[in-house]
Amino acid sequence: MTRALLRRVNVLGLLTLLGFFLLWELLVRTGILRFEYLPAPSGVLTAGADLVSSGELPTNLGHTLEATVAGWLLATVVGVLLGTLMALVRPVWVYSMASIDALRSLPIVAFVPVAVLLLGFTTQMEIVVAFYAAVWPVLLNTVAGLRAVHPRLIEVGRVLRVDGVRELWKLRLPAATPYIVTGMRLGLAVSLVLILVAEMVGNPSGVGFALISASQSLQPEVMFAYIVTVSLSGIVLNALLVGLVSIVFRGQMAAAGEK
Amino acid sequence: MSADAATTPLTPKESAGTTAARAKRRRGGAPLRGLLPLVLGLVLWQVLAPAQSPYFPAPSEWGRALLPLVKDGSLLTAIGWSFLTFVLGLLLATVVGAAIGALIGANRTVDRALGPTLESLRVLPAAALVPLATLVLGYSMQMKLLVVVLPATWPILLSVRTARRSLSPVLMDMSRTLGLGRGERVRKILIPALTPSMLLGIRIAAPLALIITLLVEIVTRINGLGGLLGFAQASFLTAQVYGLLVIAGALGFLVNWAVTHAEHAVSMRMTGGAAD
Repeated sequence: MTRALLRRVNVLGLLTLLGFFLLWELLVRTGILRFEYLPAPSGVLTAGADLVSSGELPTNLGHTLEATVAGWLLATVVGVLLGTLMALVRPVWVYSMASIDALRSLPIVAFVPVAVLLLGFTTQMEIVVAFYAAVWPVLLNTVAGLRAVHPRLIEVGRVLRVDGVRELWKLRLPAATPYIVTGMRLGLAVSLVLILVAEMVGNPSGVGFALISASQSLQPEVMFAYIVTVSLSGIVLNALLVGLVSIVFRGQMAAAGEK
Repeated sequence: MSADAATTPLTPKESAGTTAARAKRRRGGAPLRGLLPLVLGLVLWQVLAPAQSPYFPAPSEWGRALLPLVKDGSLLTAIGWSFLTFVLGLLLATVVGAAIGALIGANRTVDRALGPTLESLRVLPAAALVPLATLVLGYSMQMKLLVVVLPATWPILLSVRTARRSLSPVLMDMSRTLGLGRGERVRKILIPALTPSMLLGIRIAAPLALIITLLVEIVTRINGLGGLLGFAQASFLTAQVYGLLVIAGALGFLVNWAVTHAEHAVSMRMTGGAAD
């Protein structure tokens, strides 16, 4: 039993990771690795602990995550609604898909200056940026998922007299759920990055701004602490989403062969 | 004019779509009629926009606002810098990613040992690295490249690693039986076998590299298209921001198109046209 568990946990890999940190610490302490602003891992840890106890890090992280999740949830709702419309009503797809392709090829970061111009240095601006970043993957995955529904499923539904709204709700959307979830995961990752950019160039709050001000006040430990926290919260958000989905949409995910 | 810039880049892909089979078209490429809402929107914008609007200048203003940048050559220089960063970054990412991916994928123990380290490096958000990189490396080309290369390496590395792991051992054994030397084995067996996965990785990494290039430039305001965008935004030149946005979009489309076609061409050549 414990053996099987040990096999699942990649002990060797975790040890290697730990080894890298030790090596880093050692190289910085002995002065072999001499970059002017490269802190040792221990320095990052103490800086992180200070930031947490002063409440600075939780506040900034909370702001960033709130804006990210708000924009992303909005994007999910809009993306799924529009995606459903596009996938089910053929003319809508014909007369909009190419426009969406064209808009999508705009590099998303280039949209940040526009958002800053239009909405100023506000939290709304951040939410709009997160929304814009996340809406494309959700929309496109919803379209792809709904179009990939096997025709036989619909035929079976017809035989059982499931049609109209019930067909959409009981057959099509559940079958497309794994695709939509993939879109949501992609969207979450992108909107977190874009929120950071928005905070760096625009709204003076949140982790992005904290990173910039730490850079200007030459505090690399603080920056590392923030970077680590943001990375971890990205992982946690993703894991939360995956966990929640596997509980709520258990059947749908199992049908698609995902766990 | 700006409407042109936004719509014309679509034609190459679409014309390729029309020559392909109908069935393929139904699956993939969207019909050109779909551009109608975009064009209509731009036309409406042009007609309805108030003169000298501070937030929504008419599309015709966008081109006019770009003129000074074109005249003093700064637009072209900026595009050149961005493109150079993008190409160099992608090249470096390809070399590093393919090499590390092939090495790691060849050995299960190494693969397991480095897995978590690579995973934790992978989740670092590129944007968060920018201020750190400027602090350590200064506002330089090296800094730009580092920030572009790091995230662009992962898709290539992971793709090549998976391909190398699932490569049939028979392929390597056979070459040994045939008495091929190490160099020949790499050149004649390994590289051709791993090229498709590398190309797949590049196709994902290329748009990413472009976005990160613009991101670094916007955040740090150093030379390049993103730098121009940042300056235009900071000085409230709204029309210029929109104009630059269109140019960035065209660049993005061009990169996507080039990468997709290059991948297709190479895989056609390698399989003797059997891929399609």
